Amino acid sequence: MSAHPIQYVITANDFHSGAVVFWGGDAWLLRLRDACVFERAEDAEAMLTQFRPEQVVGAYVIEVVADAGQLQAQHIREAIRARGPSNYFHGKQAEEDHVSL
Amino acid sequence: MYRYNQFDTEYVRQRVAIFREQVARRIAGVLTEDEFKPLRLQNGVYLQLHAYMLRVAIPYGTLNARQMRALAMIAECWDRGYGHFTTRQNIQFNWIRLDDVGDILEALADVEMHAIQTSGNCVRNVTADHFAGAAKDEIEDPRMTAELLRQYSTGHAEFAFLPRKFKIAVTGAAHDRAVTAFHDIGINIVRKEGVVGYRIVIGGGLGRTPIIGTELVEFLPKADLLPYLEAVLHVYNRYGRRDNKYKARIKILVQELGIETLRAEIDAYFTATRDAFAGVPDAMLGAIEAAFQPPEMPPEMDVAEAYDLRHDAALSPALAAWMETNLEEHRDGRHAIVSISLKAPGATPGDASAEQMRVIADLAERYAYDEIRISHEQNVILPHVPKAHIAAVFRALDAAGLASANIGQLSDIIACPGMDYCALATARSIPIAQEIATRFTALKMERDIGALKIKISGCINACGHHHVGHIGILGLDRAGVENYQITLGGDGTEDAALGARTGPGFSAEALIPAIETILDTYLHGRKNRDETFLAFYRRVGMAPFKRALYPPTNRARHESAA
Ligand code: HEM
Ligand code: SF4
Repeated sequence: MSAHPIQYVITANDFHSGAVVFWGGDAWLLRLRDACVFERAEDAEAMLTQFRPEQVVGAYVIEVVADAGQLQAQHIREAIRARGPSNYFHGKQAEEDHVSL
Repeated sequence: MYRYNQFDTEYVRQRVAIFREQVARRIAGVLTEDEFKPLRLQNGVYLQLHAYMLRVAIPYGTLNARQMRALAMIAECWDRGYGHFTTRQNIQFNWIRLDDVGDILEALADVEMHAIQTSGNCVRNVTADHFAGAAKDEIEDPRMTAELLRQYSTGHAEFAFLPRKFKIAVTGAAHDRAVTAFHDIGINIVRKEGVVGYRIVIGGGLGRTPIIGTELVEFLPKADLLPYLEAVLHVYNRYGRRDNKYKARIKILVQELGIETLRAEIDAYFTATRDAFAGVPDAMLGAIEAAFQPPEMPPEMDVAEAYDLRHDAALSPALAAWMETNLEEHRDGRHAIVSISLKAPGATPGDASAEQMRVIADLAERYAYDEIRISHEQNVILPHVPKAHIAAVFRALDAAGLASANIGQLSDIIACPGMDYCALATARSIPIAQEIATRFTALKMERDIGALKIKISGCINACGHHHVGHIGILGLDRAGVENYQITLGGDGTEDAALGARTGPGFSAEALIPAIETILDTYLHGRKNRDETFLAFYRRVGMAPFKRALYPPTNRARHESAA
């Protein structure tokens, strides 16, 4: 386990593409590193009721840590969502920063 | 093969149109996600970790070249150039956009395919022996029965909202290649005093509560199949545990009511309603039987009868090795059944690229009477290949990376998508399969070990059939870290058995050495090469494996980790 404090980020899947997205503060973004970071889980949870349902599906809060300035998902599942699958170089790991949804 | 009739065609087209409209209403915000989700699931559309996933039914695993090419086209146009064949004879596309689903379903309808009833609490894709129509030990082609059930159960209003999903598998052969003992209903075509009928097994299943099915009827006359299954579904629909998702499968009902009570309920309904079916199945079956006639093979030829594959084998060791594992005897001595392995060591089990799908389609068309099968073991079958063309088929497969000579062996691993794709997963399964296959083929242990079925699931839902693997691996989540439980001695055939746990699980790093320990225990302990892993396990039991896996010095450490 990391010594860094646990922080919180909101994630969901884009409604049209199903792509993994993170709440960036005023828009849904594709990169975990661009996510809006909450210090307290309650603050992140409180946001969940605010989203427009035709944009994303299934928003929820995940735990992250900032390790050497890099946001990292705590759970392996979220790490895979943020990066892409292990068996192919597909998903976020293979995409340019400016991919469209 | 079976061709859609007017009704099928219209039904499938109509469903595409309805779904397009539903997507449009969801996009316009008229439908909420909660309202929309069951609608998309009814059309095989799931939301997975990275994208939408579309599950397409391949009824009883049968495809022709044109259909295979359509799957290749879908993979290329709307996915990332590949598809994943599953243990339920379906294909899944992992990177689908919701906006594209209408077009994809349309492309499927063009080749008489669909994604209907590949999800939800209904009768799912009916599966069958992948050697159907070619197997030497077959009493009757199980696909005729499967097609009858497909027609009967598709869109059946009474059974659209069962307590839970309902899976049926059919085999027509003595050797059960369709895992029938682990389905809600398993149908074995049997012959009794010269008459062909059905032995019906009920309440088998894997998942959270693995259970071997119980015999419900020893011999059911063929004409009674539909009224009898209707009675089963009716009783299940009425008494199934809708209050608890985990207890809602028919297997739990069988356990709770007891087979005698359940049988009495079913018989009562059957007796009362059977007359309503008079004549219907006969008419349906006649049309279906005509569609499943064996392909027109060349007339008897002495030369073909005498074609001796040993000549081919002598010319190429690679071909000889492949023939040893990937060919099966055909009922017509001039032909062989070819299994095309989708398990190149290091590759993802069950995945085929669009290019590979086209190679298979071309071969089927050129040499194999345009017939292709998908097996529940995630491989592709050419059921009827003239022996004279085995060498040519091998060379073409080899050039496409499809000639792995490993059917039924260590690297022919079943693995579900696991946490790399699946939203329900608790651990990854694909990398484990890749590692096992790569490591032990590099050690050249595979041939020596011989027949071995390793099956891996990424959660207790058991899509990877781990309970019936000779070696089963179940990926779990222990405080956010992947942990793998091993079971031994499972068997999905007519000698059905559930694997037994070795003991505490293993971390991803400790898993491969543990598998090596298991294999070494077998190799050092077996009587001779003819004693397979499963036979060895049945003879010696778990004890020697336990001793080797958890030596006393390590035991304390393992137990604290558990
Ligand atoms: C069952 C007995 C059969 C025998 C003994 C047989 C034998 C042969 C022989 C001797 C040739 C010419 C040699 C060659 O070019 O390789 C040939 C060619 C061919 N046969 Fe057959 N054949 C049989 C069945 C079939 C069937 C059922 C099909 C298709 C479903 C088929 C498809 C072909 C094709 C496409 C060729 C062209 C050869 C090529 O370019 O690969 N054959 N066959
Ligand atoms: S077994 Fe679990 S992880 Fe694997 S595909 Fe099924 S639900 Fe997903």
